[in-house]
Amino acid sequence: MKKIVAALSSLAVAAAASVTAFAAAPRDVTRIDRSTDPQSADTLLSAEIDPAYILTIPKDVKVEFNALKTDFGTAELTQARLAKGKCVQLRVTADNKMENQTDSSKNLPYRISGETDGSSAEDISVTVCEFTKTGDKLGMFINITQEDWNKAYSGEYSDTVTFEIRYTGSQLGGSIIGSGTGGSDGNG
Amino acid sequence: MKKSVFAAALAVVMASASVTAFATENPNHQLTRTGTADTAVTYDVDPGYTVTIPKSITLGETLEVKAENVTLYSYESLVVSISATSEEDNSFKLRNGLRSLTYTITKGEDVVDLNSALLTVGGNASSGTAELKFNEPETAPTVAGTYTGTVTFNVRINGMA
Amino acid sequence: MKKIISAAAAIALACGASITAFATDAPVLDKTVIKNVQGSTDPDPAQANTTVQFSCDPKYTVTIPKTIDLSTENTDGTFSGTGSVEAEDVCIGADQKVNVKISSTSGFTLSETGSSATLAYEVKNGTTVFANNDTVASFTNCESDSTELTFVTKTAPQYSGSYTDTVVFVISVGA
Repeated sequence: MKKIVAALSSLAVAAAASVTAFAAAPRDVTRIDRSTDPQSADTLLSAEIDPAYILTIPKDVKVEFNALKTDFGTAELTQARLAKGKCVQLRVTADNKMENQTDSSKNLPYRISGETDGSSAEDISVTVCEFTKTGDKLGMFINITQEDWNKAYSGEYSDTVTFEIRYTGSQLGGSIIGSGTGGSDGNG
Repeated sequence: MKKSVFAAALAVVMASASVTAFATENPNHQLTRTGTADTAVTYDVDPGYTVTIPKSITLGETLEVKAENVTLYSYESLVVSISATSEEDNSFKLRNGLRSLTYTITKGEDVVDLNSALLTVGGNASSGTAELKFNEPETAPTVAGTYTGTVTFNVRINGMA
Repeated sequence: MKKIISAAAAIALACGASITAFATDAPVLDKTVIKNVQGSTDPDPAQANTTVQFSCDPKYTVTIPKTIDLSTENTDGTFSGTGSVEAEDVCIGADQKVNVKISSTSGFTLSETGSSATLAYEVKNGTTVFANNDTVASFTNCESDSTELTFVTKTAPQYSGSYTDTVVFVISVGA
């Protein structure tokens, strides 16, 4: 039984747009009487809309013995109000090997693949994923080869996958999965 | 019988008239010898007056009623009053279609009532004036336009036989 | 015996009672002159009508807010703000109103500063939704009155940012 522990390096929180509060102030108005010329007044409408989003990420997953591809869950932007040209960027960081809990010298290699509508990545730990609108989602899978299963020693294996989320300028122009522009640190 | 009224400054002229005697009937004094005759000359002054009243006034302005050349018997007096208005109940109102506004008239600090004496000229006075303030309404009307009405001034002589 | 001699016309006596003359007075066009001579009045009866008038010129004061902030986020994700159009000291013709129209060259669309994002909005009073150039408020003769307008985005904004638009309120008097 293998477990993948998903951890967050930063939480994506749904931030309600902050409401700008004004202290009570005298009304700023235009007065028009019969002698006013022209008989009209301009009013400036304004709306300050703060960015806000909710990105959900998978919790722990258990990999069954000999399972070549295990559904790791979905990262999804369930709510989004981003500035135009901005995105919620997801970086997946993992060692790509589960460690035997009894003998740390023993490990079981794995790879996290990603799939969206219309695109996929064999290893999303080496790429950047961008979510720009509500509903953008990335399906993730734990991939272990049969060869690696055959070589694996018995025991409990586990690893921690880190999801790093940033609100930043978009580089992919609407695509969720990038190509080789991201990556984790010190992973195989 | 015509009454003779003696004005204050009436001059009675006593005339000595020498008359040439004629043989025919002469209504004049006939003096055949030096002497004097009294001739009383009187001037009849008819009663009368002239009262002048403006034909129009705007609320907020003052109207002057003037009486001149008032010649009355000593027991008489000339009185000017407002006897009617354009309202059925003779109230002081102006109208603009279905809308109306109420106003007041004051003489000095006194509010003028219907039929109250506004100007009285009597005794030895031969003229007089009265200034009447036609006051703007206390509450401005809510409908724009021109509001109009009339008041009727009446001149009468008190004490006439 | 004393006899009364009527004064001849040639004798001019200076006395206190002046003789009222009729036809030689210059006509007074803006005044009524009531004369009494020898007990006979002109006009008869001795009355004068005076026209009393008062003009109330049309007037009004309409107050328009200079800014309206759509800062309230509603449960459906839309943003809204309110502003009041007020009138006071309204005194106009009997069957007239002071009308206030609203117009927007953008067609009621907020634009985001620095990007091409836009956000459509509505102008409402209660459940009434106004179109561009509609009359949003009318005031009749009264002391004062006000109409509250609500400006609300048609949808939840897709993009964050600073959005603005300018509307023009035009005042006129008519039916």
